Amino acid sequence: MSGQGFRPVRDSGERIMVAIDGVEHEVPVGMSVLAALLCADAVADGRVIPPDWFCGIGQCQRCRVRINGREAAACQTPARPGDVIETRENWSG
Amino acid sequence: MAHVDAVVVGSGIIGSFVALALHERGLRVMVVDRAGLAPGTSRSSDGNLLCSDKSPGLMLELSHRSLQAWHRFAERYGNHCEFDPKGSTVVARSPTEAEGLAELVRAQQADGIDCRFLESGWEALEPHLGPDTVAVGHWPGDAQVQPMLACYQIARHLREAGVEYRFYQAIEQLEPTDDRVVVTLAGGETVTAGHVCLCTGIWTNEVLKPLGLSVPIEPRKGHIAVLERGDVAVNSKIADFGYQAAAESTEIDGTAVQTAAIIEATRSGTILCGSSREFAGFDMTVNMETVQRLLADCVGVVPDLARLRVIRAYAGLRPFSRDGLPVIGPLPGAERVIVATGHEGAGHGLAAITGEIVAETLAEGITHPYGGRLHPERFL
Amino acid sequence: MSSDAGQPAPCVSVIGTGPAGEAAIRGLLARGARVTVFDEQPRTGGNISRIRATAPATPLEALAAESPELILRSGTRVLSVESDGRVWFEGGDGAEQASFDAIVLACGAYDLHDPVPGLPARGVTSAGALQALGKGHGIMPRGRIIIAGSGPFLTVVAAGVVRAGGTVTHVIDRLRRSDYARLAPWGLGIPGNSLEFMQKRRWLARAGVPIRYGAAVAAVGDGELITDADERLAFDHLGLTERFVPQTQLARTAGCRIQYDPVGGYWAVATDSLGRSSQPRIYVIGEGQGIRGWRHAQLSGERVAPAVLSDLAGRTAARPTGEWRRRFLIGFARGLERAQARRARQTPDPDAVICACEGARVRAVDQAVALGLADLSSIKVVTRCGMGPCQGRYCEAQVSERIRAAGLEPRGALNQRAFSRPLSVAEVLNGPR
Repeated sequence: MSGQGFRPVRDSGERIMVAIDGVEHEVPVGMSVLAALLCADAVADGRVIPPDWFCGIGQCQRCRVRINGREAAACQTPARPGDVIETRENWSG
Repeated sequence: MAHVDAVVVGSGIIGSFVALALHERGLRVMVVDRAGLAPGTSRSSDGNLLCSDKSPGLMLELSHRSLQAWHRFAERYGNHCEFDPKGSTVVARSPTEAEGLAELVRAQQADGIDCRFLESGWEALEPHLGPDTVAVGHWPGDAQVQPMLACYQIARHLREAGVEYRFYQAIEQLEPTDDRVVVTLAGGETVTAGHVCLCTGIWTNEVLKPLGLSVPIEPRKGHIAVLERGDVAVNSKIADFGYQAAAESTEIDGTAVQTAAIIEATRSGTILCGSSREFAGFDMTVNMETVQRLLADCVGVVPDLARLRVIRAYAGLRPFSRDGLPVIGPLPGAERVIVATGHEGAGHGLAAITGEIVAETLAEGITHPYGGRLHPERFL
Repeated sequence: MSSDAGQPAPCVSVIGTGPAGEAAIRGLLARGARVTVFDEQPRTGGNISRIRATAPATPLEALAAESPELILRSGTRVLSVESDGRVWFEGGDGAEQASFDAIVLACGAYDLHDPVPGLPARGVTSAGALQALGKGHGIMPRGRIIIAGSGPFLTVVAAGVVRAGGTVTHVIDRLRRSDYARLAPWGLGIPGNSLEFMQKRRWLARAGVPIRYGAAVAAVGDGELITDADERLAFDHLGLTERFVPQTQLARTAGCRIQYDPVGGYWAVATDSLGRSSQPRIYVIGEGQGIRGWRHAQLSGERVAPAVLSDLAGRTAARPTGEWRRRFLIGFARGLERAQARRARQTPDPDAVICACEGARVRAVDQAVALGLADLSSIKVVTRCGMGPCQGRYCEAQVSERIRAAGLEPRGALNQRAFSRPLSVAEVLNGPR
């Protein structure tokens, strides 16, 4: 994978906790689930593999994950405190 | 004016195999379709090549022979259509169903069909059947195909061999005479043909209407829901025990919608879920309630399907014939017009043998195979 | 608010809350309709005014909070729209439906790129995605960002990325300076847009972001872009947008007539000048009619409201306002589309992927077209283009281009086979029986 990852913009410093594939992560308030996945600290060491994504606006459907047991496009869902997010590599791509 | 031995109307699975069989016997063929490739029933079907849903009798015999012809096709031309003899599995979920299934297996075995009845140990065949499974029947020789790719494979082969295809050309007029048929296409082109083969499924009567002729074919609507690829293995074609009765039923009830489960995984990993049967004219709109019902049937057989996602749903129209048998042969009143329709939900399975039957009629003069039981004159 | 004496207020659904949807909603409310709004994004405003989940209420959201005539369902996916006025949407526990007297589709547009060898690849998204990231998602890629493709949108995105602290190393625009010069006189008719565009260009120049005109992306390698002049430019993130296409999926589920637009190179919903589609209860406004920009979208929303209500009441609509303005805005958008079409690459690499979902390549499409096939559905079933999760949103325009390249006229857009978006089986089963 190319790139150096992502960083938050206009970060208020406030944090919420979400679980990504069973591991708790701290993410800035006001992010989408896609942003949380792309920014998670564990991306760098390979513990979190962010979904493939292209459009960021709900069209391409490549970034679908399971959020609190329901499937949704990660890019269309705001991250909320306590979210349980499951990435699934064998879902479409 | 172009002249050919046969104009095949319809580029669906029946027209494709008819054109191929005629071409193989050295006849000059032109294929005409009102829209693109196989725009009708073939496009909205799963690709069942099954014996498991047939009671012993002529349909079973035809299906068995046609499966052998499909194997010959794949050997001769290569397999570019996901033809896959993956077998089929019928699931009984009550002692009564298990009894009926055991009886079907016994009767088919007596007819020489390779099949067996399992009261245990089916997990190796199908690991995701529900806990209420009582017994399964297994038909190792049954197969599936991707119908559109089969039509495409044949079209590309025939085109390379010089056969002309005319897409987006409805039949404007058919003028049968004693020794030929003059065919006028919507674009204005006129072709003369020794014979015209109408492989036009439920639209056959539309083409025949100006001639004052008809065949007793009714559109029988069905729905398919497509599930996205996921982690639920479906190894063979899986049907519930009720599927056979639904597929063979010949009662026309104006309002009833029958549903029964039939499940297949495609090469791309998607899972097709059927089925529904109803008479709703030519209406092809998707009814969400029917989709819900057939999905409930499928989840009843394979509960793990519930966690997969539905990505599409569509409806199609099967060419239903009144006595449950296809209608293949020269049309009384216009002997140079050959019809090949009425295969209901078994068109893909029977396509290969249908091509053979039509080709034998045209090339060898065999007009009443199978004791005339397929001939359109049986309805007179 | 009241409608005609004795008549219950008409119930209208508006889908989408961009400039078109919002104008329609306000127009309908002002004329006494009850309005139910669906938007699949968590916040109102559409792509153009995307905001963070935690941002203060938008004016439309504030209006919904105090107005009983306006029901706002943000973050709700509409699955299909039916010609009888029913809307199927994803409710809390599965598929739900609601019935309306009329439905106004204001679903906007999305951006895509042409088939390029090396794509799809990680680290490459649409340019619009970068805009959405900064405005709505709250993140920005680290490292070198290249924004490439065609048109003024690239400049707008680049400025937004720089403003959000991103490092744009290049903007690669297929359009030439002369193309912009030719459009400039028209731009005087939209002074707000033109001024903003020129400011952003100047601002990028001051920030040291080079804009390369008349250059195109020929291929993408691992973290590197190759231009048509064989120049290699390294990137950490590439945002690539050649053009916009209308979002028409829901109109298709309703059976609205869709027509191919050879200038824009996309399929748009056929409507009259007020947004009436071929289905009596279904109206389509904004970009669904063709890519014409947000000012046209807003105007089309203003114009549709009186038309919907007079149609429902069986009255003849009053003479619509803004007809001259409408024509001007379409003319401007057309000028830009013509320039983009003129500069577009004519022959893609046969090995380039044309359908990212299914991995289908240009060559496979060309083979199907060579057989004489010219309708999208036939090509879909033999090449798989359009069968994946995006349901053809990203390949239909490209496949149509291949049909045209063979000298044929594209026939019949992809039919939308229910389920505009995927939904789990369990959710479908939990819906109403």
